[in-house]
Amino acid sequence: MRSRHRFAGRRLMLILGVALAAAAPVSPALASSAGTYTAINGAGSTWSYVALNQWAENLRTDGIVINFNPDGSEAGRQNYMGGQVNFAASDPPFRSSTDPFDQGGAEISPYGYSYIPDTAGGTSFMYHLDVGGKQITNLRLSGTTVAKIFTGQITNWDNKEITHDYGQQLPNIPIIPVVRSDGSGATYFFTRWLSHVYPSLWGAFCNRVSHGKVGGSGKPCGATEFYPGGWGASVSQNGSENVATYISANYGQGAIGYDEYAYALAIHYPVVSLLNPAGYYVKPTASNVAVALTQAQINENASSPNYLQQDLDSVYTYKDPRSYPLSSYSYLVVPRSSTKTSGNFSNADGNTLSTYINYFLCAGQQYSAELGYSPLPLNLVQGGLNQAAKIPGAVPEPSLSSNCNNPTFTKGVLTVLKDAPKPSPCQKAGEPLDCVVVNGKASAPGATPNSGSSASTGNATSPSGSNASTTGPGQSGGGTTAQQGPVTGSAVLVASSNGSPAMVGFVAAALILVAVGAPPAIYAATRRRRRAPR
Amino acid sequence: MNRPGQDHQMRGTLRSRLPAPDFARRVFVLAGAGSIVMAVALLPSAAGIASDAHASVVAGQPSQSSTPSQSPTASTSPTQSVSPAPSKSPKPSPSHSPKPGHPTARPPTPPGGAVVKGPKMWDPAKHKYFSNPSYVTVTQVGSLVNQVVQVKWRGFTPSQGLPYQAITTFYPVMIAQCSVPHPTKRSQCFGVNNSGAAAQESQFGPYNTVYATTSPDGTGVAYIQLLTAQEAPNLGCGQGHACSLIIDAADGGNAGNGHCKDHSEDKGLFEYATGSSSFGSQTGICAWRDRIIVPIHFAPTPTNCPVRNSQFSAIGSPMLARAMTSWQTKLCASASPVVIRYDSTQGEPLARTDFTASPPTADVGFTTLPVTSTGGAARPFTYAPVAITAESVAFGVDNSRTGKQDSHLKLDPRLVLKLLTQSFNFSNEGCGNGPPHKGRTCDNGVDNDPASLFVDPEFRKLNPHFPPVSPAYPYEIPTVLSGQSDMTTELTKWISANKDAKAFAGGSFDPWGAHVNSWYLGMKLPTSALNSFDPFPPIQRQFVPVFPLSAVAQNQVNDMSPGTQWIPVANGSFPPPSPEIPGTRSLFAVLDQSDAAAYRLPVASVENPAGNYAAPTAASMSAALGDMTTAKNGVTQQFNLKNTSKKFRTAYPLTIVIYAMVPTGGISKRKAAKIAQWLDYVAGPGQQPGFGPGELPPGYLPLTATMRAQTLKAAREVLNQAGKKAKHAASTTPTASASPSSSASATKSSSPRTISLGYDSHPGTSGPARYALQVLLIAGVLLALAGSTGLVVGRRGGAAALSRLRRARVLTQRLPGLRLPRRTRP
Repeated sequence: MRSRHRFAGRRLMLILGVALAAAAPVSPALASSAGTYTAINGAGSTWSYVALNQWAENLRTDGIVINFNPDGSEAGRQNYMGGQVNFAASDPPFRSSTDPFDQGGAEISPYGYSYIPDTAGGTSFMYHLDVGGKQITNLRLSGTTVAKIFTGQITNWDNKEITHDYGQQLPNIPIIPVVRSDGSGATYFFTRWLSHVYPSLWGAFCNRVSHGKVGGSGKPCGATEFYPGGWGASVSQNGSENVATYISANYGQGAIGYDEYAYALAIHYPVVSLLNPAGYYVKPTASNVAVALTQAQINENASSPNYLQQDLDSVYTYKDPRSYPLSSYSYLVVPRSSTKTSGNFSNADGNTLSTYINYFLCAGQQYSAELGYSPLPLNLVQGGLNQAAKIPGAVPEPSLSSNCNNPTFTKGVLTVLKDAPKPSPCQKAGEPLDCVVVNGKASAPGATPNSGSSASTGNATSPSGSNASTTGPGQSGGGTTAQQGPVTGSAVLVASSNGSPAMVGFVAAALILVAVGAPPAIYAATRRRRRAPR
Repeated sequence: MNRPGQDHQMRGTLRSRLPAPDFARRVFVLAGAGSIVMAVALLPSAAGIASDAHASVVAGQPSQSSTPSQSPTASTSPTQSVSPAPSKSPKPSPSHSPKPGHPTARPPTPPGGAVVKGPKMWDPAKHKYFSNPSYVTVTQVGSLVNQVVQVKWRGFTPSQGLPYQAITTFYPVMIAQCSVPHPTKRSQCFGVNNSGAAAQESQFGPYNTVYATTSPDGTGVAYIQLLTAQEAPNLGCGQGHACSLIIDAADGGNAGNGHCKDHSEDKGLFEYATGSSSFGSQTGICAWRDRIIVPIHFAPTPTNCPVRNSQFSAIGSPMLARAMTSWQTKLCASASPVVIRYDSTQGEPLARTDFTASPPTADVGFTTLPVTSTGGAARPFTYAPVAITAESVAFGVDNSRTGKQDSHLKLDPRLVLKLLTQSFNFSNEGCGNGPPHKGRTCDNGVDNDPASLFVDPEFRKLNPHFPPVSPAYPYEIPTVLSGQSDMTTELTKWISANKDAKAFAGGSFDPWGAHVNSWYLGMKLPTSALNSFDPFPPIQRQFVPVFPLSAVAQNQVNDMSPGTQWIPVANGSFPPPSPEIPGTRSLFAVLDQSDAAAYRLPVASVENPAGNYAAPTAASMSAALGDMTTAKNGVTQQFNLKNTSKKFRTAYPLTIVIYAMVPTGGISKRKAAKIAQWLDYVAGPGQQPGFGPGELPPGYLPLTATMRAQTLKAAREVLNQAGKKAKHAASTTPTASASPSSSASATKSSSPRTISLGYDSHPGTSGPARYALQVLLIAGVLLALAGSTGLVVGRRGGAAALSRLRRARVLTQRLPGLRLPRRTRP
């Protein structure tokens, strides 16, 4: 199998382009040998693609060309095993056993490899709900409800369980669950969570859609990279881009899909605030993800083939009020010296690849939050640098203490973690939608001067801010004013009543503007129009 | 190519654009009704002129240019095997007196192209060598970008055993790109050791190597994509790195004993004259020895710009990418450099969101549709037209008898809708059309529908002479763009404006009993995005919209259908499809005309509201400009899909104007100056058609004088930063008649030399038309003045403007979403 989109690397920035345009171009402060680099190619994860691509863009002016084809983790690993790419990006490791929905068995790479963590992030749920001409941006759901939506048990947005989570009943709109049709790490992360936290729901679903082949009573159904399609109102789309397109299209009303937060952030679409085990509805902000991933069990055995790989079981159940449960790390799969390497891989390629990796593990990490990801903690950065140095032809390993220039740490701890804001009391399960914080406590609606204004809609809940942590008012630093503001925005169905007087005023203003401000030509035209028969 | 003198001219023009004190006032006084009158008066005639000059030119199927060489050609003195190094500054080639019609004479050199003399080829019919040398013509050899060029030859050995196959065709031709101007080793050329197997991929991606055949008269033609360092780092072609094309004729010779004059084994046991022999490293020594080399030179790209912080950022409109790239390349190297950080991949809807976001995340956004959201922009802004292009339906369909690519095809909105919704009973997969294939379910969304586009009675009626097609791959699934896009909105507006297509989308049968793929009944038209709705595995896995637009075009160039194979391989994954083999292709893609022109893709003629069919030519796009409706902001225009008047029967209905949204307040003086400088350039030298840096690439129509004036006015407004923040996100100019027509400055800028949409409709071919257009433009501007004066006085001149006003109002009402009734069974 060949990587088809040779020019994928030319996709400048999948989505975020200009968000970072303001940032000065990055000169990697790396001890890279000056001179020319070979162009290298990779393939795989769409989950991490937005970050991988941005980093590659940042290095472009230094003459480094990384052609990356986001064809999904599964295809990326296949490409690596086939020797068609210099590196792969994959969210899960090579498969050690048969995928529940996949005929293929364990993946045994003919070439040696190391895993190098590249970014952390949250698998989020982007949705499209327009009510009364306004887009809902403050949806909150429990994990159980999400699991039921994606296993076909809840099929309408007016469902009682959704009402319970959200705090208000949504209208009768059928739910369109959008899933990936290609082998995807996002699917893997999501179904791993489903199979661990909701084994019976997931097992029954597996059993139903596989017509009894998988799952069922007593037979667990594990994580898969291939989400079953063709059930209920579900829609299967190939690739993250088409999932996001479907949800945001005019036919996407009622749709909900899963993917890395970056995709929703980039097209200014809202994601679900997910109920965590501590009882708070949280978004996959950089800090919430960082908090959750403190519980990831990292394989620290440097001689293990799975060195640096993650075990997320404790992440799912972590009871920190800030924790976003569906958090995870993504990885590159890279060649390793003194193992078999593909004939297509040269030391010069290794020079380029290790320069790229050293950059993103160091200076590149600072862009994680803006892009919708979360920076890597120190142990993974250090481990990754160690592994990068083992790539054939690698440049010397930068030192964390001198030339790595990773600005995301404060005294060795991730700054986003150290400063991670507590959720607002209004994010606690059971608080009403129009809850406001007064003196640090959740309070009845209408208690503050700010309440009731439609302007609050999406203010605190929109994911579209340039800073990923717009979720909660509990921002660090000078966030005191924000903490006083309403948290979840206005309730639904109020838009029309609030909006119409403003609209009338606006129309009037526009008319006056037209009447007064127009040049003589318009007078002439207007007069003629009045004379015209009606 | 170096064009000395041009730099001067461009800088001169830039300078002349520096703010005139009374400019803004004049602009306001000369209200735009005049420009509308001008547009109405000017365009039909301009279109007529253009039409004379480019009547049969459809991008991708350029007519053969027969202009004697008067412009400089690249330094390709007749080259056989290793030729002397080309001088960097090309000299004009001596003029020839070509003998047209005589296939053995030296052909004329196309402007910007090259003719290279090759060896005398073997004539198997007479068992001796031809008495005349062979010649190869390449349409363009300088200022190249990632594009397709045409390669023609004469005096070659006629091929036997068509269409081309590596092992059954004798005396074929291979064309390949090499990493040096004078390749001496096979390893310097891409894909030449591939034993003649077409459509293969290398570790670096698909080979661009082309295999073709020669007609009995010794002539042949082929198209090859030229790759820059960006697409093919292994070749590394670019500014300062000249490359070459080799044309490798398999004219036999005994490679076994090294006697290339021994042709006894050409078709004998060893079959040395086949592609599989001639184009392999061991058995191909004779063909390689006779290779014809054409050195090629590439234009700089923005990656050649000096590394420095960008002065402003721009986002949106992938259709603008090629023009913007050209402008960026020129401006970053100018005396007062403009460095722009441009993301061309994002669609217009996101550009609008980013540009109007609070805080904005882009300094300039490119769009076709105006901002409609009521959110309110963070800062005042206006629209400036920057380019005119078209949306095209490209097709790569081969005649099953000859193996040659078809060049003409008509599509109406309903047929395009059928392609977009896969409303065909492909490969007998409908439930109502016989039993499904063994081991497969059937797709009951398309039962009883025609098996393919080519057997659809509607298609046959429209294209009665279309040659037989028997594609190797039984799906005509188009490659379309993924993500929200104004291209998709414009396309589906065109579809839903057609009564028949709209009814079809809603579930009505066409006159032959076909119906829309019923999985698509929930799709609302018009829509800004396309997705796969049919879950039937072959369709779901193959109809996969592609991102970004450049990948859509590349897919078509690579002869790839979209998506993946639908049967998983052993490990459970779905591999990409193999490229379709030339001779048996049936590929469609919806893309922009600048990509179609650069890649010379044949594009369909489509139905316009008058019921006529038009291809995207300079003439048809100009004609469309004569029937545009203007939005409330007074600047942005869309083709009027509701006007069925025969007056616009030549109009190409998918003509698209791209606008820059530029801030007229709220940005720094420095940034404002750079944006204004860029706009000045775009409205002036940037509209000059050509291949060089800073010029307007093929596939774009130069802006009209009115539009240039709008852009210059916008530049002033950006520079002044005195814009008032509009309460509503719409533009500050509330009505249609407020568009400016600053005649003075518009005429000052050099008028476009010619209107070039396909490569061969190149400057030089249409001398008289050039002057006629200039005269017309000036006349139009004079008319504009008269018109605006008339309007201000409120006399007759206002009438035309009035009707435009009314039309504008109609357009701004959104077309209602289509309600789709449930499909009824026959």
